[in-house]
Amino acid sequence: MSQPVTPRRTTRASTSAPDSPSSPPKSRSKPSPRRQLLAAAAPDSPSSPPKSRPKPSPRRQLLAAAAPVPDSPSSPTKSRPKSSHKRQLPTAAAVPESPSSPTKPRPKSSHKRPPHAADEPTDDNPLAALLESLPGRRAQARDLLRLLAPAPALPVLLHGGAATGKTRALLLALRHLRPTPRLVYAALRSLPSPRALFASILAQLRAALSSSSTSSRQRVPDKPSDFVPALRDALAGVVSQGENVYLVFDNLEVVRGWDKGGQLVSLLLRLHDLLRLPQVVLVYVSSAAPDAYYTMTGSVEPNHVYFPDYTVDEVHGILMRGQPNPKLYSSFLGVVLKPLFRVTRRVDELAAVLEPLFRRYCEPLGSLNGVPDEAIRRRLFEHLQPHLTVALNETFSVPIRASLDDCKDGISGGKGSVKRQFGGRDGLSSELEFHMSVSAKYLLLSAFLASRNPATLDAALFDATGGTDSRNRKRKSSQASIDRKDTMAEELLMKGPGTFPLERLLAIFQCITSVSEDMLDEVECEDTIMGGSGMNALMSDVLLQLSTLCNSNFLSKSRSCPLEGSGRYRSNIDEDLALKVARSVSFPLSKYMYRR
Amino acid sequence: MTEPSREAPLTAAHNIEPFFVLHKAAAGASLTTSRARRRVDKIPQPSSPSPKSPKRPRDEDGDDEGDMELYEQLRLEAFHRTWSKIQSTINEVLRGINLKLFDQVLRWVQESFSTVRSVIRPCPAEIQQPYPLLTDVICRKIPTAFVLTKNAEFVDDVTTFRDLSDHLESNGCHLAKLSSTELSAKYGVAGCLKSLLRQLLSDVPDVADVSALASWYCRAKNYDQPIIIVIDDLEQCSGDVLGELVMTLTEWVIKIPIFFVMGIATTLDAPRKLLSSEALQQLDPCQLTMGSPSDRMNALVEAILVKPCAGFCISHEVAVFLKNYFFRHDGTITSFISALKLACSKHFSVEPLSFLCMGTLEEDCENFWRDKFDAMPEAMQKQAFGLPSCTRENNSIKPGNNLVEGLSALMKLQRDWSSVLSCLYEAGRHGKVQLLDIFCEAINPDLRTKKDSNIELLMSKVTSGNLPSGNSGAGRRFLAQALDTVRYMPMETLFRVLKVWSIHSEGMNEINDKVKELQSTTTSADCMRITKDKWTRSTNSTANGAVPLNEKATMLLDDITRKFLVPVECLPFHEIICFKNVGVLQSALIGNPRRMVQLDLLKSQSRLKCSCCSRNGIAVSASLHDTSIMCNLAQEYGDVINLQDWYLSFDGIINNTNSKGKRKLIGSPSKKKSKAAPQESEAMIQARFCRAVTELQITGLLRMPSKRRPDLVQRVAFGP
Repeated sequence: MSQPVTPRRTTRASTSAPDSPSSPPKSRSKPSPRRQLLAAAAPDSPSSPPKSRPKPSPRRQLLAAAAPVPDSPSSPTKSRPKSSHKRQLPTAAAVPESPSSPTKPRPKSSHKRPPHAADEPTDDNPLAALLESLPGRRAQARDLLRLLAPAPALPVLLHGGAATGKTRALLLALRHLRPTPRLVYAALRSLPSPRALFASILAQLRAALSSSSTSSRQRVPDKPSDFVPALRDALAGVVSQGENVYLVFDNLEVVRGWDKGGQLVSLLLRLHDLLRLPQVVLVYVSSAAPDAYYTMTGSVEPNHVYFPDYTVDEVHGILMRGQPNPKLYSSFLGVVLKPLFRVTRRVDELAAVLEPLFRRYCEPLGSLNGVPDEAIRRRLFEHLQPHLTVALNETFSVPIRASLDDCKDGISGGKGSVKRQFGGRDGLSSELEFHMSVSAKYLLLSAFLASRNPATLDAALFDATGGTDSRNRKRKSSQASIDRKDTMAEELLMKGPGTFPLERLLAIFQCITSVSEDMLDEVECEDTIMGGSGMNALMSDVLLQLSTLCNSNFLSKSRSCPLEGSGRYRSNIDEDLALKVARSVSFPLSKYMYRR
Repeated sequence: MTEPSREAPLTAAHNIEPFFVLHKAAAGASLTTSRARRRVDKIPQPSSPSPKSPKRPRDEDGDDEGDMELYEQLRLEAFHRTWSKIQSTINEVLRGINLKLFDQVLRWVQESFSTVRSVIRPCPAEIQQPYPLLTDVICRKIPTAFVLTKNAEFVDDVTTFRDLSDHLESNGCHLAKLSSTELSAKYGVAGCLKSLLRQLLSDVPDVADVSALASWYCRAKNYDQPIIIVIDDLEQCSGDVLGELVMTLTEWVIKIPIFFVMGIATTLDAPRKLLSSEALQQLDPCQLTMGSPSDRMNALVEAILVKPCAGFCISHEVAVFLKNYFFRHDGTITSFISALKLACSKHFSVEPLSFLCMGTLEEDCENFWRDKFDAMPEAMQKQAFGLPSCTRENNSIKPGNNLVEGLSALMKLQRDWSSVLSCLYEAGRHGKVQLLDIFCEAINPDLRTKKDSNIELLMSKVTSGNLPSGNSGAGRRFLAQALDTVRYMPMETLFRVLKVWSIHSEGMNEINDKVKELQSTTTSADCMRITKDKWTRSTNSTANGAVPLNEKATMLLDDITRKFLVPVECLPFHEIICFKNVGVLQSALIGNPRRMVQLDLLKSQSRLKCSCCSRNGIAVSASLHDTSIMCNLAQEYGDVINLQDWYLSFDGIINNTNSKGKRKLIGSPSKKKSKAAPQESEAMIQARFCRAVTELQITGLLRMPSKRRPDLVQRVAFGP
């Protein structure tokens, strides 16, 4: 009988051909391509939840047909074989690459059966509640319960994309275990260092042992080698009280980014072997696929539970939960969800985008209690449509909520405000939104020019006659040289902004300020003394302005010696901002920009 | 008599800093040290508010000297009182501007907190458990207020954010500040957390961890308030670390209500560029905007300069300089205030009669002035009437024989001036005229002389002021613009403007009456007309209908402008309250340190006035400081200096001290060496040479040799 996700002990080092359908859960499947397939297949499949799951390949159908499903003859049937298939199909694919051991049915599987069997009759109360609170995660919840249920269980790895309910499913499943186990939880994301991790785990264990340890502050181990014995001691203490301990490492993928994270990951994954405490169950939760952790050999491999992304209908179901007016919200989702789902599939992101949209949607309605009929729906949709377009564009970037005043404007202004938002996005608003002194503006412009133009053209662009002369010369040059220059310019664009030394920046600054000095003097013709000296003195504190620009991330500076000042700079601003700045000092920037 | 005493401290003020640089360098070097030091002691310190400059004529009798000291004390007191008045006004104005923003932030905090708590209100036990709460909240986000400071320069906002923190804290929020140094890659997230805990908890655990914060938060006294993290300069933070911090705190956001307040100097693109999209998704942003720097500037100018709050004012030149400095160079309120303080301190230190300013702060100013004037020695009384403003021929307002009356009149005229300027600004505001601009025009003394010709005004009327290019129009561009604004103002706005005018003109009865009259005619007649003309406004109201009233208002404004807008520099005795010396400010604010250092190095003899060097005249003497010698020698080269040549000439000068006649032998190194051996060892000279070169490098006058050309140094500063 093909028990799909029976826990087994497998070691990667052992070599043997898979001979049973219940071969090790290698789950080497790359979920993503399949998801893509699924996505491609989705439109033509009817949208009932089970069917929009991965399209069963012929082979899978065979398997599914062949595998008699022991429990749950009802709706989960379809998801069940799917999950079994997922575990087996890749195994066959992975045969040449990593032959795995024949499954030695664990001796403890006999332990395991009874609670599972006990599941069957009591399917209604605890399990039903569990499944109820995990929409779209039926299969995973069952797997989890099965894998975790008896205390002496193998390590489990939950993996799947962000916001697919891994942690939630795990915590809920653990809550359903009897007797209530001791949970030691390490949220690796909120722990800044390995030391903090060790401290957190040991503190939780010591708290469990409150009677004996008197919570005297013990030294936190610095090194993993010190941590393991300390952990074993602490665990042994708890276990000796007759409790089962579930040690959960959430967001395991974060550890890889830590200093020496690779070693720590392999240590954490080997803990089962290192500790050798049967009452301790290790659970790993990760948004990275298990492949990411196949660095060690010879240790027990955790059982995998895969959490696929939600489908549209599952998302629909999740979002519908707890809505005060389901009919209204459902009609809203019917309009909005499909287009947004093309942009993102993460429930949390969708929820964040949908919330303000729903508020907009309800605006024309007086109360939220009514049930909208067809005409009202159409009207609501028309009201919503412009906002929806904005939301679709903004899901990629950050939805920044406008200020209070803007909100008020938006409510009263309706469509106008949307248009204005568009204007802001497209950079049509020509005003510079913040204050900068004139000399800082010129310096920023010169930095932009220095980064943008090739240094060889400085002489041509900034000579006494201006840019026009050089352009004439360019026209006379041969076709070949023009082509060469074209490719050069293209390369320049591809490379992004270039770096430049301080001298070049100051030289360009001097040039462009001397050009615009006349204009400024015209404006200030009354105060000749001040106008003249003011502009001349622009140079004097230019280095101060430089540091201002660096501080506000407009320029970045590399490698510098305070005495030599030989660092190179690069301007980080885009052309839009540069044009805005130029406009604010009425400087003809485009005249100085090198274009092909 | 005033002239020399005014001049002496000014030159000292110009040069005090470079002088000290030189002094320090000279200390270890030559025999001129003690003399130099004595000289330094003699030179008055201009940074102190009351230099001893008027004390210069030392041969006066002791009584006089006692008087001098007394008046010095008085001036010092006057400065302190005046400046503290100005300072408190500034603080008040800025607080008033900021308070609006602070209240907005506070409201946002309270709203967010109630939203968070309405979702779930975890009990302490739940908060302290290490694993996340199981809620139906799909999306966990950290409420974040982005405060746009609207100024690329950050100096002003440091105090603003400090005040904001205080404001929030006094309203019961838990507050922590993270600076950009803490949010740098060097310290990482662990450093941030530690700093957070240190600011909130009294007992910081060994290992920084959010759970410690959670258990602290569970205590009863901490529980019902949100935790605000203020990051005042987002742009300077490391995006990675901040992103990580955001992700870390997200795990806890339902349990502990932590909100961010982030200051952004530039645009909202800054967080987008800085943070990863994953971290950005965890923020629930809200944008708040500070008043722009020019708004604050306008408010400050209005409170300090237009309404003379402490009797101290500035001349047109100074005003224009400050304006240009603000817009072109620095753009911070901080530097504007410091410039103003500098001007104030200079004024009280230089102007002998300036202590009379204090009178404006007294209850009964005339009495104060009379007392002071009677107590004044003869010389000073004479000095008062000898002020240029009193002796001027073409003055329209003749000074009386009485200083007290003169000062009272001055004050009165100043008050009128400020009322009229306020009226003008109130009108011009609707035409986007900045107060600073119109202030600079109103304070221009040339305006007064020019204005007598009515033709120009007529011109501007005809062409509606759109000829700023014309030379005559440029002088009063903004005034004309303000008048035009009134001329073409819609009725409703004019009502409001008139109402404000009547407030501004409260002290001036005749104007107030006229304004009232205008107001009454408006209310009775035009109100109806407006309603009637509402629909045909485009054709009728602006072209014909509005003419009478708008024209009347314009006439009135024009009239009072001509009558009462008398710039302070045209009034007698204005020197007592008005600071005019723009040069001092200029050198203090703009400065040109590198040039000053070079100049002082080149002309050190003239500063030190030592006997050994002055004899030689132009020639470089060996008794000069090494760096000074080197700098003088460097003048002979172009933009690169050959080290070998330079060293040889240096060597020549040093060794020439005891062999006066050998100066011509500088060029021949072999002879030099044999000569030099007994006086100064070769190694010593090399060491001195190296030190001098390094000092020149440190002062920024030259750059060390590059790898490509190891024997050449590059000059950075040129010119004498």
